[in-house]
Amino acid sequence: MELTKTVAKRLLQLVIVLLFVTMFTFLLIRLLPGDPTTTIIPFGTDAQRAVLRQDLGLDKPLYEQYADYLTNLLQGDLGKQYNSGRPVIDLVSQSLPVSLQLMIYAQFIALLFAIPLGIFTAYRAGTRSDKAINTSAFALLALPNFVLALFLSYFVGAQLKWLPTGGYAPGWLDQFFDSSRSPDLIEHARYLLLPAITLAVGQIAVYMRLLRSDMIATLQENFITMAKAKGLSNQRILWRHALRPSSLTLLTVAGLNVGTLIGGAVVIEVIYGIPGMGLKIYQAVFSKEYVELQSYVVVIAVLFVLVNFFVDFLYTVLDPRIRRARAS
Amino acid sequence: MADAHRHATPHRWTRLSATAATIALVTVAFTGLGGATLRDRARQAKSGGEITFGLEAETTTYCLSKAQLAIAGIQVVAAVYDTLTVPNSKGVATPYLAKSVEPNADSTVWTIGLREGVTFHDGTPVDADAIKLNLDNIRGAPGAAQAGTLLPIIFSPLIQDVTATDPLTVTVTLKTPLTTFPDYLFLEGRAGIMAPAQINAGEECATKMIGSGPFTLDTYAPNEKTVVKKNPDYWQKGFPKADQITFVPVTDGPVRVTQLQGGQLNVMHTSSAQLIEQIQNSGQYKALVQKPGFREITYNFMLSDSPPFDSPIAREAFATAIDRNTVNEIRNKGLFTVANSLMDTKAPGYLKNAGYPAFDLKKAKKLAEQYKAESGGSFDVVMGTTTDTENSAELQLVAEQLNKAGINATISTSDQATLINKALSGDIDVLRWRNLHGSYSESSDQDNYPWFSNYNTPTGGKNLLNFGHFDDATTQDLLTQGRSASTVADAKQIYTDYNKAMAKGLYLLPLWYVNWAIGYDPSVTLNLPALPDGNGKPQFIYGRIPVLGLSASN
Repeated sequence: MELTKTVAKRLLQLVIVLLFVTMFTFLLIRLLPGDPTTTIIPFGTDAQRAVLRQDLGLDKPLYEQYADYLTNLLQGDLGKQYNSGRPVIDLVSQSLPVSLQLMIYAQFIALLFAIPLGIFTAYRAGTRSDKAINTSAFALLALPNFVLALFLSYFVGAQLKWLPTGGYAPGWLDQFFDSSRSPDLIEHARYLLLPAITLAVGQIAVYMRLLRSDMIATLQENFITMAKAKGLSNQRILWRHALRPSSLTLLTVAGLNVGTLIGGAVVIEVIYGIPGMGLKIYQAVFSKEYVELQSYVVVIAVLFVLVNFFVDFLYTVLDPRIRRARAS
Repeated sequence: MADAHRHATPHRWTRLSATAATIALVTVAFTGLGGATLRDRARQAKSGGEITFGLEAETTTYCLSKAQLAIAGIQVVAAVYDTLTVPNSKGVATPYLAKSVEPNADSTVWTIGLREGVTFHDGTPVDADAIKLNLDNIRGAPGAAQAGTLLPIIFSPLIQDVTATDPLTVTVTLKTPLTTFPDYLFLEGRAGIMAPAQINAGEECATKMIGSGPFTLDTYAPNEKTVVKKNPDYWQKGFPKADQITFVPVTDGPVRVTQLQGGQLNVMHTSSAQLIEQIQNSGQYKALVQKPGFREITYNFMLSDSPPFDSPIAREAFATAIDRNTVNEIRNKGLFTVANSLMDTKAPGYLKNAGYPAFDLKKAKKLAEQYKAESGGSFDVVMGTTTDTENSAELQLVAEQLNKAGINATISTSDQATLINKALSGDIDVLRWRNLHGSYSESSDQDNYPWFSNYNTPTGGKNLLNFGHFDDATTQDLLTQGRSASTVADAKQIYTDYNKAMAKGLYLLPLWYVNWAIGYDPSVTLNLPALPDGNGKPQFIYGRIPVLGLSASN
């Protein structure tokens, strides 16, 4: 019952978010100067453009265009690319798994380093090692990720030839979106390792700092003192008892980062030649592919809400006090 | 917190050592540090002769009659399609997919003879009906399902009718005598012949690439790769050499070079002087650089139907304010040649200096002041270019020079289609452009007539391809004469006069000739095999490399 109520509440939230996001994007895009017909047929006459505008439905009032779009969306039709006539769903199917996998790997690498470092620096707060790690974290945070991308691509890829400088091979997720794309896991991992590291580096510093702050506060709690008194090892106390309640902020920020990593990694995708959603969004903006752009926004909005729903669920797993508070 | 276990125990050291050893082993296996390098593996993988070609852009539609292809698309077209003619290295349009292209006495009727036994990739014949279908769509004939907007501007005023006279003969009747009609059947590589199945595929025409070319389409994943495989039934026996070409769009030039160095690409193209130099100086990679003769020209087009450039004084002020040698030194490291002509050295009409003004800041300032006095006080110029960072940086330099001369210059960047539209609607005053204006040695018609015919046409319309919006009776007359020049000597004289007239009108300021280059890995062989029927060698033109002779060694 409780679960059903929660799911229903989240679905309603998803619908409201989607309506708001699509309406906002729809209006904003149409405020951009120029119109798609100038991109599709720059040498077209006014008469030809008028015909094209009619064919694309661009001559209808805005509210009608929006209503048509929503109706199609509910039927799973994301529309077509103006220039090539390709269904947008095909473009999403190609690019979304790429960005999802890259996001997952980047988050995984970031958390893999950030969690132990966060715990260690909290445990060693105020010491020289804590200060050294924090300084390094700030340095990483200050480094623009495109600089790191160019550096890694050039030195690791072109000079040392340890990993590819760019490109993509399908991974474990691609086949679920397009059954013709069979995975090549080794090549997939080799192509995405450098981009994932590039994206993860900036996140490591942020996550580590967040966890460190929360851990320091948690380590002052009575239950930690109790655990020490009971003779539990430091390792067990840190990893088993202190980490979970200290992870909530970290989880929240990691969840919020999902949208940025999926749609905002365009510079990294260009440098590494990865055909992800960031690059598609960038190209759609310049090509005035309104329908395509709206569809990407919808997809990212849906993912965002779903991920944060999952994050909320994880709160109750990590901290029993939240579980009990919600139950009561 | 007290830590009774601060020092590692032997058990802990064992675990750490085991973890470190595992990580090391996985790293070696993953990256190949301990054995074959990435390049060795790539070389082995290329044993079947596979080319990975880095392109500067992606192309979203290959419905050739509608597409507005740039070099990236043209390069793919060179693999999948054939054109009826190609220019040979001497700059003469020679029959290619066609066996013959012959005029009647006054060049108003052209007879295209086709080769027997040539088929499209779907097995259907390359016959007269297929050619007629292509030409009808290219020219925008009534009822043509895949007529675009660009190519009909060029072909509709030319072609009266196309008839399939017999299965292997097509007769093209022109509206006006045109001695250089074969040049138009290449159109810088854009005029690939599509199979009827592609033309009749409705919206799928954009992606269902079926030609008669040396390679067949295997995979088209936009913004990821286009894979083409060797056509075993290709009409030129023994070709192509490569088993497969994978075209990969890598829009950023430096990233393309990095991927060449890293082994992800073994061939790439570029028109950036700095990148060409980087490849040449690498000592490891090779570059085939286009020689002088039929190069593209970069220029600044001054839109001449509205202020400020409706004034010849303003145009001269602009031209004399720009120190092209300095811009070339800074942006291209002096590697390109400053152009003072509308054509390159082997095209009819070439002149070392057709009369374009040299840099003269003092004169520029004086002219700018004169213009301001005559026009009401200000001299403002909006310069348009694409979002390419190199172009933007170059215009920034030009803007600084203009500002020194008292011309208030600002820059507007946009994607190419929007840029064209801004030029068409007059929202910019200067268009930084690059185009080919001399790709044949016997005529400069095809590369000039469509683009520089008067903006206001005799029928009351507009020539949308004249981005400069200029009307000049002298240049128009010379273009018309040139189109029906009966001898090469006549053509040379006419286009020389035309070159001078364009310089006198000063509708554009040429900047430099562009040397396209193909950068490639030493494992790649870049042969340009002879054209069929003894028509000479093909030309590396406009960044387009014929792919027949490309191969990669084991």
